[in-house]
Amino acid sequence: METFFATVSAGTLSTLEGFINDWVVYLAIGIFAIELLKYLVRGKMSWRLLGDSGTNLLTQAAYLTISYTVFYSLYGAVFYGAHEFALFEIETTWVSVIVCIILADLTYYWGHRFTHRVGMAWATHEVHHSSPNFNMSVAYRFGPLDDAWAILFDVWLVIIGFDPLVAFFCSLFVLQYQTFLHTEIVKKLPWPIEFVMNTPSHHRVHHGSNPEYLDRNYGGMFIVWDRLFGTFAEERSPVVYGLTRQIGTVNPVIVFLHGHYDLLRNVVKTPGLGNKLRRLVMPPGWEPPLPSRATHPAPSD
Amino acid sequence: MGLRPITSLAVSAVVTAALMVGGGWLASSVRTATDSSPKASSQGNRDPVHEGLRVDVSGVRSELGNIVVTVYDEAEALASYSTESYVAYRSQQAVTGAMTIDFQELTEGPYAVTVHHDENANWAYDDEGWSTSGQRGAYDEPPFERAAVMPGSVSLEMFYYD
Repeated sequence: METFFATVSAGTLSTLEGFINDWVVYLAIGIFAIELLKYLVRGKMSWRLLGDSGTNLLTQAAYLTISYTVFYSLYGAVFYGAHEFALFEIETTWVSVIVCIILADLTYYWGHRFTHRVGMAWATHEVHHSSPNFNMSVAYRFGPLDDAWAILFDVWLVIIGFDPLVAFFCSLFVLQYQTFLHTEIVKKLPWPIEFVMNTPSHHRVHHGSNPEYLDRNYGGMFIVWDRLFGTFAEERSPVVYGLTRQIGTVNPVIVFLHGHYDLLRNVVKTPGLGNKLRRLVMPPGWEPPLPSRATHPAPSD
Repeated sequence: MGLRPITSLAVSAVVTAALMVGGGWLASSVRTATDSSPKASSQGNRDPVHEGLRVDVSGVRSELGNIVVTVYDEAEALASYSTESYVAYRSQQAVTGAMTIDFQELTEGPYAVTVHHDENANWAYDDEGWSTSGQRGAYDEPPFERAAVMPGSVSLEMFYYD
């Protein structure tokens, strides 16, 4: 019991992080192999599907390149800068790491909801949602600026008082957990798990373009946030994966950049500065109001 | 289930903020097991010959200026590196490498010890060399609980910031 209250060193934490990183990848490869086998047996295997999966991995490579060159140092600068304003003095123990993971999931919930409901953030996150398939490889399909928006929400962990390294570890842990949600081979888990945790079933709903599934199940590790904040939907009808308007390509360059390209094109073609700016913050699907007529018809009394 | 979800964004924001602050407060109330019993005594390094507190400073980079050791017995004084509410204070000509500063009068504890290398001897706290007992890295500012030592000996390694 005492180990839970003992100090956890930065070295221990980064060793653990490396260990988790490696095993997530090994397990994901294993599950993906099973998924491919299942596609084969069911006669659903196609070059298109393999191309889509390959593209998913290429977007990950591009995303990681951007993360390592830009965002990890930005994370460092923002986190250590914000730590100066820490609200509480929090020692790094396993207890505080566990509390931080739960809170990291709460900040993830809001960050994730933000990337779905704010146009300029959706531009990067819609890359993750643009595959018409659902398997382990989709977990690695990321957009170019996914990290940029995440920083805005993760930084609150540091402002609360968690050590920057702990906050980074916990934010990453919440992402790593979600890798395993991207599969169709797990149907439903026992109800107490489905009630509290985010599961493949809940996350299939999140990736659905069915009207009743849009903007649902934002949670990372826990689904309780969605139940609490009214964004939960249960998986009932079969899920149609992807965007409401499918991109219809597996070209990795188009997949990686289509969100920002569409945003830019939409901003350019939207009339009026106010509407152009509104386009950046309004949810996907928003259209500027039609120009109002100069005079209203007079009341006919 | 029976509970109705919160649909108002404003209420959601308040609930979220409350959960964040509550979680932070909870995590901050957990004190490390080793830190609850001050280090010097738990490690049994009380010097039977020497009375009081002995401060061993290492990593002094030059013999310029003075090595200033300040000992605090309260958290707030440590947090502000107070120049008024300390329990003991010594200044000595710096010696490159290691130095020992004795406080024979300090027999109570727990104490937090800070060392400042005032290289330009201007009696100001510039960004020169610093160290605090219990400090884990150059940018770590340990709270009093972690900095606390009992009479005996304590070792501090200097960190330089310029």
